[in-house]
Parts: sequence; structure tokens; C-alpha cells
Amino acid sequence: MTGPDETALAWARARAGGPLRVPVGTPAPAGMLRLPEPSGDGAWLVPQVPETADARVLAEMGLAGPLLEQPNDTARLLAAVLRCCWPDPLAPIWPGVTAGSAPVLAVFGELTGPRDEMAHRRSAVAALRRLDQAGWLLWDETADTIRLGPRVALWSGSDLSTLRQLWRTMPGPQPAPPAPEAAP
Amino acid sequence: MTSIFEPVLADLGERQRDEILAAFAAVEHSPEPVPEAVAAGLRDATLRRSVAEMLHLIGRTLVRAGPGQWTSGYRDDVAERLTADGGNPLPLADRAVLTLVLIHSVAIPRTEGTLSGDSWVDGTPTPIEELQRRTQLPRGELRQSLGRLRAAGLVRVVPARLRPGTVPQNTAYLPGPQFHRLTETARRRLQEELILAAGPDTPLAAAIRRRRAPAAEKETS
Amino acid sequence: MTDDGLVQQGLDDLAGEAAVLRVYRQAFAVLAREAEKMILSPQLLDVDEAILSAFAASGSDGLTEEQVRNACRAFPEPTVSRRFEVLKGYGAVTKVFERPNERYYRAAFAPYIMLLFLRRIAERGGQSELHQLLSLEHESVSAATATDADGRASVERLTQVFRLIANELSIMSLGADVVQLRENAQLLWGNEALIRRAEKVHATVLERWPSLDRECQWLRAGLAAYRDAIDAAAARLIERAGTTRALGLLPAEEWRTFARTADTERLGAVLDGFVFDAPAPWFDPQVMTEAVETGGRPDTARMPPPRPVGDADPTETSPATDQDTIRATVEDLLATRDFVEVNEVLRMAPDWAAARRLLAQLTAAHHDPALPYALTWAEGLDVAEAASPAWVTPGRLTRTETQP
Repeated sequence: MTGPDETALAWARARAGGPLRVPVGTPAPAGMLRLPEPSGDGAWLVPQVPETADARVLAEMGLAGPLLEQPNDTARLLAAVLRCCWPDPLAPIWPGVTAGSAPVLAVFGELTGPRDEMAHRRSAVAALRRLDQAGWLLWDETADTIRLGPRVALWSGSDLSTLRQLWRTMPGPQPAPPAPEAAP
Repeated sequence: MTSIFEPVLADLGERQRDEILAAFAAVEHSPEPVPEAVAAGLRDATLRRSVAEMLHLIGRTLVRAGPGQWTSGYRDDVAERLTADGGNPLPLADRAVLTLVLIHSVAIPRTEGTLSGDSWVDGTPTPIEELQRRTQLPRGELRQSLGRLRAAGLVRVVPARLRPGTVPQNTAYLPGPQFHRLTETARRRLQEELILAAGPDTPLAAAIRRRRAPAAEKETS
Repeated sequence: MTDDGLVQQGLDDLAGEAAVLRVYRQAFAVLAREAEKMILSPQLLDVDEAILSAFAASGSDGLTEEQVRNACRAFPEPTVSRRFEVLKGYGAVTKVFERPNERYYRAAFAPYIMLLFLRRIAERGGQSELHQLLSLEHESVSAATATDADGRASVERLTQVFRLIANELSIMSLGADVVQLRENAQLLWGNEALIRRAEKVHATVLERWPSLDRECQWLRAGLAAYRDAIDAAAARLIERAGTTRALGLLPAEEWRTFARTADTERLGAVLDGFVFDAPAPWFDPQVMTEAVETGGRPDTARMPPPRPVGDADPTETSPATDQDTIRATVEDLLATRDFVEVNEVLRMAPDWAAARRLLAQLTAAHHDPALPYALTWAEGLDVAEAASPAWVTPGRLTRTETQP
């Protein structure tokens, strides 16, 4: 009996570790999307199953999806990232652009409504971490910048139509906010 | 759409394809095992075989998680290859915390004879305070690891059981639904790894090492 | 039985008492003449212990039977009386002075010591007692005054002990069920240390009395049988313990020590060879739209109570969408038509927040399989400088089946 082939291994690797970062010139194994890094430094591989076999089928079968903490805030934060990192919703969603965390948090604040500053920040950071861990966004904590993650490539054409509409209803990132008022 | 699964699906009718794909989606994406009742592709042995073939192509296998319950997991040969070079996608710190949860919530209750059944998912919930108190692992890291493990379905949180005379605890941990996804071989190996680590000098550990000795040795004896 | 249900006990206690009882029966079976005198209920051991404790507290005067009953009033009186008679019958309790009408009794200390030993053996499987026995045997064969008869007796005793353990292990590994296996797993613990001690006795005897060569050979055979039985039993245990049950075959203390002392590397290494899934939640754009939609509402701007950083927050529930509300809204918009242009609808909204809510309802109507509406989009922006929102995408909401 021969061992597992490279395609099976690549799919399993992506399931275990999330989207795979590979060097330039690595061909995509069967069924995987290849998303070039905007910097030209390699690419991401994301497994893609037919639409009728992906996660949205769960709801149709009456099955619960994976547990997600704070699902609403997490979805709102992803929406805010979408608004800031996808400058032209008619362009492909990948790779989008890099945004600072401040505008993303500002849009997130618009979407959640008024909240205590600490609570706002805490829920934003928790959601950033969750989305980063799951490959929906890439959060560079040192540079404090955010990009869309390779998983966004799994949204289908009709998903993207809905997202474009959502994008259009959201307030865009503001130009640099005025300096905060000096404390008395 | 031509896909990686065409070899399995090519000769099938529309309806069979749909049922197989739905069953595939259910076992791959549902965090809990899927009852046969909800998917024809799991009820029917022939369709189920096609689901298993689809899974095989992507390094997975069908796992029976109880009577009439199915989920999917990594093929044993794939898991072996993926970890052969010592690499593991789950960070070491998270693995350490997960091991602690397995010991406190499953192994010790087993020794005390308070568990029935033979599952990694059932156990006695361990309050977070107990996990923190009885370990070398730094507190802050332990909490962060628990958060990540929870997001991945590797641990689950239940309200701590109230014991008379104790202060009610905050949260308590059990192994999460991902443990349903371990194959029979992997579940057995997990038990063995724990025994080898905690009691390397016991006869049980010796028996495990003997069992694992290369097959060639058996043939010559 | 009268003392049934007398003491409310946890499962753990019961298991512990069953173990004491088992050892008690094993230990006293060799002495008991009449079956009825054997203790068959764990509570009776407690009664014996209470009686003996009462004597310990009584000082040198001893106790009358009535005082004993009074001291043990936590237990049913007939039971205490019966046990008192049994202890008297075996000489564990005797009159202070051997004369008629003597009312005061005293207790021998040996039965109490025996009880303590029983409890210990039940807890630790007799391992430490066996270790002590081996130490005593080694001491006795090493003593300057020891004779070859002592050496022979010692070696013969040890041979019997190890052969008995070996037999028990072999039988257990062949036929016992999982619960029995776990109860007897103690027989497997600390075996190497036991063998080493026995070998020390063996070496001393053989060196001092080479003529006992034959007896020593028997001890070696006994030890070898013990070793084989351990190997076979461990192999059988691992083989038939399923996928988690073998965990119960290691002492709890061994687990606790490992959990307490191992560092991140050692703990983490247990799972080196296992692959798990990374978290992969799916974000349905429709659900995202609904989350954004409900975002401004005050009820979702919860202020969680203070809690430690990183602790789990209660899980939010998804916003409920009310089918009837959506249907009513959409039917209002459609009136008698079969379709309506989305930009027309949105331009009717007073502000972008209202437009956003309307759009969410249209999208929800589209995605709800129970509702007969479809939303289709064309690409491109339709900009109207003066309007709010300033731009919308051309789209159309269609009723997909006729209304009843």
C-alpha cells in the first residue's frame, strides 16, 4: 500500500493549520485555490469544495455550525474590515488593501453603536483575534495593520453580490480623525 | 464545475450526487457527529461508500462516532505523515493545556472509576481553578490557550458541578467535540501516549512499547 | 437489612468500602469457621471501628456494654450489640477481670491494627505491606543469629507470595471484565521494586546457605512467573481496555504527579502525533448583513459584567428574523406588482440607516426558502447626487409565485 498522495496531504494540512502559505511557483493541488500574495512573495492555497458541499449546507440540514463566540460582533468586525480593505467592491475581493486598525475599529464602532470605550476595544480585539485565527483576516499585531484573509476567496458569486450590497450600506472609513481634545 | 471529486461523482445521477455531497458537507462541517437520519448519503451503505471515497481523496476518512452517528477525521496515514517531521499545526502550549484537560477530566476520573462508556468526549468537568493550581504552566498562557482550544472545538465549557462544601466554580472544561473525529486507531493511540508519558516505568507502558515493536521482530521470534 | 440506607454515602466512599470489605474477606477467609461471622456489609466494619475507638477513649477502666452502645449510638443498637458479641466471641473484646458479674470490658489492640492495615491494603493494593514484608524478610535472613532454617522459611514464604500474585494476575487477564481489571490493576504497580527486593533476599540467602540452592531456584522461578504474568496481564489489559479505559489502570497519583510536575514540553509532547482541525467558522454574508443591521440597537450594546481578561463571554444568539414581518414589509413594497426596483425602494427611505434595514429585509426575503421572493442584482452604480443614499446598485426584487 502506498502512502497518501500530495493532494490529500495538502488538503489535510490546510484543514489542520488553515490556509497554506507556499513559496512562489508552487502549483496548486487539485481543488485548491491559489491566491498570490500582493507583495509577490509566494501565495496562499485554500481548499475549495463544490458549493453544494460547503458549510452553508449545514443550515439546510438543520445542523448547527461550529461554535463561534460573540458571533454578531465578530460578523460586524469582518464587515468593517471588508469596508476598509476592499476599496472597490467591483474589483476582486482578493487581495484587497492593508488598513490600519484605527479606521477598522472606527467603522466597527459605527456598526455596533455607542458603547463604553473599553468594551468596544475589548470586543474588537477579541473578534480580530478570532478572525485572524480562522484565516478570515490577517492581523499584523506589531504593525497594527489588517488585511483580508485568504478564506474570503471562498465566498461565491452570489455571496459577493450580497457583500457588495452590505459594503454599500456601511459608512466608509473616515479620513484621519481630528486630534482628540486636550484633557483639562 | 469539475472538481477534485469528479472521479467519485462522475457516473452518478443528479440526485445521488446531491445526497453524497450533502452527507459529505455534514460530516466535514458539523462540529458534532451527524445522525444517519438527517442524510440519505449516510444511511445508505452504497452512498456512504462514495462519501468515504470523497473524504479519502482529501486525506480524510469516515469515522463512526456511535450507533448511527457519523463524522469525519484525518486518515491515520495522513496524520502520521503530517506530524512525522515533528511539526504540528497546534502550538505546543495549546497541546500542553489540552493534555492537562485530558488528564484531569478523563484519565483521573477513569482511575477513580467514576466514568462509564469508553469515550474521550465524556468526563468529569475540571474547573479552571484546578487546572491553574496544579501545573507548571503559566496562568495567563493557560487561559489564552483555553480560549484558542475552545474556538477550535478541542475543549468545551460546562458549568462546574457544585460539590457540597465548596465555593461554586466559574467555568469547567471537558474535551471538545473534535475528539469525536479521532479514528479508533487514533483514540487508542491517545490513551497509549498518555500512559507512556505519565507512567513510563509501569508494566502497562512496557506492554505498549512491546506492541509497537516493529512487526519484523515478531516474525523472527 | 436494618442498617440499609443509614449513612448517606457518595459513590467514592462506597467504592472504597467495597475494597476494604474485599480485602477483609480475603484476609479473614483463612480464619473464619462460620460464614455468618464474616462481615458482608461495609457498614459493619464501621461499627467495629466505632466500638474499638470507644474503648480507646475509655482509659484503663474499660467500658460496660451499655456504655459501648451509648458511644456507638450513631449506629442501630441491635447491630452494635451483635458486633459486640462477635468481637467478644473472637476475644477481641474481653472482660477487664475474669470473674462472674464483671460488667467492664477492655479491647485488644491487635484487631484495631488489623483494621487499619485492611484499610491501607484496600487503598494501596497491599503494595507497601508487601514491601515491608520483604524488608522484614531481608532483615531476618541477614541477622547474625539467623539459621539456614530461617533462610529456608523466608525463601519459601516469598516463593508462595509471588506465585499467588502471578496466578491471580494470569487468571484476571484471562477472564475479568473491565471493572475487575481496574480494581485489580494495583497488582501491576511497583512490580520492578518488589522484584528487586525479593532478589536481595534471594542473594543473601544463597550466599549464606549455598545448600538452599534448590529453594532459591524455586524463588527465581516464582519471580520469573510473576514477571511473565505481569507482562501478559499488562498486554491483555491494553488490548481489551478499549480506547480510554486503560487510563484507569494507572494510579490516580501517577496522573496527578505528571500533571503537576511536567513542563510545557513534556505535556505537549503527548499530542505530538495527533492532528486536529484549525477553527474554520463560516461567515454567511446574509448573516453578516443581519448582524450589521441589528448593530445599532441598544439591546445588543451590552455591557458585560467585569470578569477576568480572556474569560469566556456568554455566547450571543443570532438575531431572529421574523418571517411574517419580512413578508409584510415586502408585500407592502410590491403592492400589486410582481417586482420592484431596489433603488426605488431605497430612495424612499429617509436615511441610510433606514435604507440599510430595508435592504436587509429584502435580502432576508431572498434567502428564506420559505418566502417566495428573489433578489437579483446587476453590476454598476447608480449615482444620484442629491439623494440619500447617494448611490445604489440596480437590482430587482421579484415575487416568484402568485400570492394566494
